[in-house]
Order: sequence, then structure tokens, then C-alpha cells
Amino acid sequence: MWKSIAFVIGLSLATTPAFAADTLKFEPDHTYVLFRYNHFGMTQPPGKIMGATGTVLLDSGDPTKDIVDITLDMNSLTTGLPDFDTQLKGTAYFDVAQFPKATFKSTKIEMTGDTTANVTGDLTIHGVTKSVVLAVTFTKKAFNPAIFKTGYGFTATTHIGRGDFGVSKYEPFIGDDIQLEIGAELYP
Amino acid sequence: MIRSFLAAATVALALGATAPAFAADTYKLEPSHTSVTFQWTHFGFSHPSGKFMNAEGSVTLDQAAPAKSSVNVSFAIAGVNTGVPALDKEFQEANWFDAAKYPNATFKSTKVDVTGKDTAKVTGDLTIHGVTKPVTLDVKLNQVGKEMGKDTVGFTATGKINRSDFGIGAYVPAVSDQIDLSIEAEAHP
Repeated sequence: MWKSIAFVIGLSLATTPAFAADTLKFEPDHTYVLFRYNHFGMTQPPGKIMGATGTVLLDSGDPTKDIVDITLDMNSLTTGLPDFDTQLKGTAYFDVAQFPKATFKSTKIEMTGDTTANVTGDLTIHGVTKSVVLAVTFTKKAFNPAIFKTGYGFTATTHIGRGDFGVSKYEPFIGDDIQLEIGAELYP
Repeated sequence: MIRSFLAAATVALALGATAPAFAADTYKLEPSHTSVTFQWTHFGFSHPSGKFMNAEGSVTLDQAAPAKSSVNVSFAIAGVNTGVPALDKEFQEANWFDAAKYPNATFKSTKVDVTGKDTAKVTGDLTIHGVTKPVTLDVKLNQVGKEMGKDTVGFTATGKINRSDFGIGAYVPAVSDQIDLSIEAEAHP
């Protein structure tokens, strides 16, 4: 750890950057996907998917050249209702035995403000890949004294149609539209 | 349930009523579709969340005089679900919710200010960790209708609290004091 900090300081003293990009890793306990769906027009129950692994390759000069590659563990899906979680992981919905991972790989980044961007990428859920656009906000880069590392924070939102991914059971009573709220913490 | 419907229908028919048979209906909260999601800020990086389910309680909905509506609900702290099992366990401990001593959080409404056709500000006494504070929630009545043929009312509510007000101040401010609450509730007669 100290060695790597010294190494980074050494690099930053160099007149030209040694690397074009830094690799950041998703921190699984503070990276989440909250999903909400419409239940008979009555409520928008939330659930959560965790178990993130993957990286963001951060380009030193041009954020539109950053590359996001994240994998989520569908077995981590939790609604707070264990029986319902079992149903959602079963063949009628996500079939996690056959499709244990969901992935997102960015294909294009367009800046929409100083700290915001539309990140287009290939989202794969339930073995089906579709292009989606995430509205991403870069929340913070700061030293995290709890773990003695500089962290990066992002939040993102989007909507997807679950039927597009072959997960359409009980539509339209249980809505097709799924609202996603994503938070991510990354460290070198 | 069917019987009470029939009874209500019979009463309504007998009275030849054009107005609803009942001024106020009491609904029991349905625990599998009632959730309190609480969200904090972690060093300003992201907004992790947890969720309480297992609601026990009731909503009295007076559609003729909405200000007379009320809610009374209790949640077991043991049911907290953050998606991070180690954190769920930690939250039970003495420096967080101290669930052994304070196993439930409760909310009892004290005032309903109607703000629109299907919205209201609901003030009530929120008790967490043995501390009671007044809290105002912005509540929206989403629907009065049927879910799988069953009479159902659905609500969404939001609010903000400071956790230190309830004596749960561990790691403030790195882990934010402000907690955003987002509540979904379904109830049946």
C-alpha cells in the first residue's frame, strides 16, 4: 500500500504521465443497483443487486475515453423477501442458475456537464444484450481515511424495459418499466 | 373478506345510498409490499441504502375527510436488509440501532394536512432507538383499487431525518447524518 502510494507520487512527479489511464476497481460493499418496478399501480417496490466486480479505465485527459466494465452477481439479488428472491432467481424470471451474471460494458461516453455524462453501453441480463444509456454523475474524488485510499464515487440512473431482456412475467400488472438507480465507489 | 364485501354491499343497497357506505375505512398494512428504504451518503461517494419490511400496522383512510386519516406502524429492526449481510448484522449492535434493547421502530401519525387531490403532509411521532421525534412525511395516495382481485390502497411517502436526533450518530459526518426515507405501502381492508 505505502509502496503503491510512493509509486504514484513518483509518477506524478514525472514530466509526462507514464500511463494514459488509471484502472479503478468497483468496491462491492458500496456499489449497488437499486431497481424499482410498478406493482399494480399501488407501489414501486425496490430491490437491490450487489456483488459488483469490474473496472473503470480512467483516461488521464479525456473522460469520453473512459471505459466502464462491470459485472453484477445476480445471486445477490435481494428484495427483503426471501421467498420472492427465490422466485426472482428462478426460471420464471432471471434464471440465475443459467445466467448468474449481469454485465454492462460502455461503448460511448458523452459529457453533458462538468461532472455528468451519458454513458452508452451493452447491458446483458438474462443472457440478452441491449444497448442502454446511463445518466451518470461523478460525485466525488477524495481520500477515504477509513481504508487509506483515494476513492471515486459515481451515481447513475436509467430505465429499462424488462420484457426486452425476456423477463416479462406478470406484465402489465407488474410493470415492464424498471427504474434503475446505481451507486458506485471505486478505488485504484 | 368476501363476507364483509357482501355485508357492505347489502348495507349500501338497503340504504339506497348514493354516498359511500363508510366514511372511513381501516386497512391493514401488507408486509410483503410495505417497505421503508433509508438512504445515506457514504463519504459523499455514493448513496447506499437499507430497507425495513415486516410492517405491522394499519392505515385509516377517510376519503370524505382525508385530514381525519391516520397511520400507525411498527417495524422490526431485525428485518433490516442492506444487501451486505455484515452490515445488517452490525446495524443490530449497540452503537447503531441496539436492537436487543430497542427491537422496533414505530410511527404514529398525529396530523394530516391535505396538500392536493391525492397528497398530504403527514406528521407523526417517529420512535427509533428509544427516541421519539416528530417527523413530517410527504405522502401520495397512488391508488384505491384492486390487486389480484383484492381491495387495496397503495401509498408512496418520502421524508428526511437526522439519525443523530435518534442517538444513532456513529461515523457522522463521514457517513451522513441525514437519512432520506422512501416508503412504499400497500394495505387491505
